[in-house]
Amino acid sequence: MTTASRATRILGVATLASLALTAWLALVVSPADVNQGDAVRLLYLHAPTAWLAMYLSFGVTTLASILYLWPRTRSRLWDLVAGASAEVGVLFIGLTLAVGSIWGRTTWGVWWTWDARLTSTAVLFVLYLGYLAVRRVPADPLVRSRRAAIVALAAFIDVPIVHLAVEWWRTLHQPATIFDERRLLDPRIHGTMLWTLLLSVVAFTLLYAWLLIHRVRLARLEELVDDRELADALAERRAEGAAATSVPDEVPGLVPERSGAGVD
Amino acid sequence: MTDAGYVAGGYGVTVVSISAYVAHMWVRNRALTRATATRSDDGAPGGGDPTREGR
Repeated sequence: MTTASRATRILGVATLASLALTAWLALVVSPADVNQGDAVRLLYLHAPTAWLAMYLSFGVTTLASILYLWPRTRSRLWDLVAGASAEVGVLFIGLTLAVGSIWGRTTWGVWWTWDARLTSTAVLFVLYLGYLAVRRVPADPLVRSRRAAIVALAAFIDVPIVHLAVEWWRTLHQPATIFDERRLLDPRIHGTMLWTLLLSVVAFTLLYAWLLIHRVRLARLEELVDDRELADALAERRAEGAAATSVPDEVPGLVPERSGAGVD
Repeated sequence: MTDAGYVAGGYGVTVVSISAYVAHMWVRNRALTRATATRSDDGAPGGGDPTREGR
């Protein structure tokens, strides 16, 4: 039993190919920006990682948590999907912050500033780290899953705050380039830059799907091993208990003394 | 540092982080797969063939 299958291999190849094409377009074909120069190439990492983490990963975590909490759709699978998606999301929100920090250093001149968008994103990162920590708190599996699902719903409240931070407050961070309902048909970038950005979003979405499938399967494998270890431990205890109750009859050294006492 | 240096840093951090996560999952998958395979061979309770000769 492994986490790989024919479908995930095909998905993996498609992901690698799209990521390689994105890298070529982003680093070679796409032109430098008039104002930002080559630093604009970080856009093709920063925007798709933010999309993957905030909207896709944490969105799936929230949806799976709702499906877990809803009695009619409650299934162990939804809890595993929620946990796996949050883990992938935390990785990519961390990358969003790291790449954004590098981009900020070269365009704003600082690695970090307490801007509303940056701060709310950092809070989001910490919230989902907390969610992953809650999933590891020892408890009854059902209680732990329900607790984690409620925390996931609470953590997602920060996502619209991050999205709207650039409009609610005066921020150093620029407004949305594409992920804005008013700019979907009239984005701020055009030509090769636009197509490279769209392809990078597709490539990172494929990467998310590949990582999520493997992480969910890995979680199921972990549960299987845990269940077997528990079964082993219970069987050992039962064997010890059975041996303890049958000691007087089975210990050879005791038999002659008892039989000898009877003869004398 | 030049813009190219920052770009290289950004792409480098991304590639290393994703590779490390994939490697972590690969190692864990391999360990768990071996654990389940070993237990199946042992005929341990909960898996494998408990009726195998010598068990």
